[in-house]
Amino acid sequence: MTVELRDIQSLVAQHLGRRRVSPDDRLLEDLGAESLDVVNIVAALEDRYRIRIAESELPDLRTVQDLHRCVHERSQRQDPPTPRD
Amino acid sequence: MDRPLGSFETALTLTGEHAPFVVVIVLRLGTGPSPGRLRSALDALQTCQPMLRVRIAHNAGRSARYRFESEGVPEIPVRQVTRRDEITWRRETEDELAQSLDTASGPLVRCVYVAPGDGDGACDGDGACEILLTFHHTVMDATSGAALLRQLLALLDPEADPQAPPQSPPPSEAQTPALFPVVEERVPAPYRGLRGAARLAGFLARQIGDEVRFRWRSRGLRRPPIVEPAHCRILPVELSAEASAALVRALRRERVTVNAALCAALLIAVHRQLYDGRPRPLRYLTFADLRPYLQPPIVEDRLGCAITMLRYTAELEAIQEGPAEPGCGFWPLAHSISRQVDAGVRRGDRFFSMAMSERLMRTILRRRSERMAATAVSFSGVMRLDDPSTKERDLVRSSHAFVSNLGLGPEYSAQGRWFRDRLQLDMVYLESDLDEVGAQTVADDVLRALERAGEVEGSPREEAR
Repeated sequence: MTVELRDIQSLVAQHLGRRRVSPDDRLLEDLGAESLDVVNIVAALEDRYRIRIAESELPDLRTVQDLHRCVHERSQRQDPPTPRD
Repeated sequence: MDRPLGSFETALTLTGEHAPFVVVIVLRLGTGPSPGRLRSALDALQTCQPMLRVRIAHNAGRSARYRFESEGVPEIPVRQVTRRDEITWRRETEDELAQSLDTASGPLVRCVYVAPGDGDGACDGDGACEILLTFHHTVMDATSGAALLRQLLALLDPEADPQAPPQSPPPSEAQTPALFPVVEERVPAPYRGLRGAARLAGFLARQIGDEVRFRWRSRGLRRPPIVEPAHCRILPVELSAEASAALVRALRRERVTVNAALCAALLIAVHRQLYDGRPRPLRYLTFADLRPYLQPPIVEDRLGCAITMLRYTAELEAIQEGPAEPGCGFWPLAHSISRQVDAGVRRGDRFFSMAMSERLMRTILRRRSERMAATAVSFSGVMRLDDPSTKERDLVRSSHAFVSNLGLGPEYSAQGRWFRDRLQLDMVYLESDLDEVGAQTVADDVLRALERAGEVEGSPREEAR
């Protein structure tokens, strides 16, 4: 199952209280996310797509696009994910 | 190219004038480079990084008291010692933490090469070695430490031609040979000018309120003694990969940052070991990387210091009598700290704390009336070498970072990072505060609290009971 970029954009926007975010937006520099925001976003992605993202990977997840790529790769490695609300 | 020091840089320099205050980065290698290779790597590093070519001039009669100047700064000095056993590097690190740098002459870095052999300068290629790099804090923080390790490992690459010119300097340095920027000049607009002044007033009011509350609530309770001169001891520890992964799962479930979890675990352990067990407030220091939030942001491959120190007060529960129960009260405190720090940084505390740091440090050094905090935790997600695709995996045994403590500083501090999916903590304490047994007890308490946090699947309130 393909993870849609727009779903990731929507989740990030919702957590950061933004109307919209772009794939190239950087979480910290452009969107002003704080450490706790990143924890919340990653935790929400893990819950929704039933994946695990290691803490040591977080520094590499700089943009919304990076998040999408990571979630997509993880979901391909595991059982077919069932997105949850 | 020269420039005056910013407020936080000045605060760090004032601290270093009061007592030895340095950052020691340790790179432990399975196979050491030849002394010549190390020399050329350090020379290349110094060429690439402008902050490794400066000294600090003290101009007493001018408003800007300290300036970075680059004229006539010598090469990075290297001292070679014989590696006698697995703890030689620890004793050398403790000695390094106790020695100031010659800031007037520069450079603001020196090197100790802990190499095996009979002292003839040869490292035969199959012996473990340690490279200790001691920095003035104005040119080094956790993010810079990560950049340093990456660049140094590339320069030490045994497959590279030792006679070859230095590796390509970081792109930003190739284009911009200027010194690391003055962080205060890149503070975002909402925290400058009139809007910034109003917010700063709120910050100061909260600080004064916190000071009054802290003094009132801790009256009659233990106050840690000021000890000078102070001698630092180090204690590196780590969680297993399994416990680290379990902790991360628990932190995600509870929506708590790693930094908050470390602060909570260390505060509880220090409270148990050094205080009287009564409910009380304790102060903790934590640190924020400013790079991503500056305008424009500062790229990570440039060595310098772009952090600030935040001080908050936590309320500690009573310690139960009887055998220690690691983890007791952990989750409520971790949640509280996570919320407290998050609320603070959203208000702009990191920028105001930076702006006020010089004044705060001058006051602390003049009054010498109390320790700054019980604990200090610096956690960096970026200072890691864990890419299994790199050849560094075979070469690097571990890396560490330690910061000098002083008699006015916290009683116990920890630098935390991920190293190959393990949570690694480099702890520093003063031998006048704790003996080795007491320090080990604190470290064991911290590790057990973090392990237990990962084991318990129940809600934080259930766990606390």
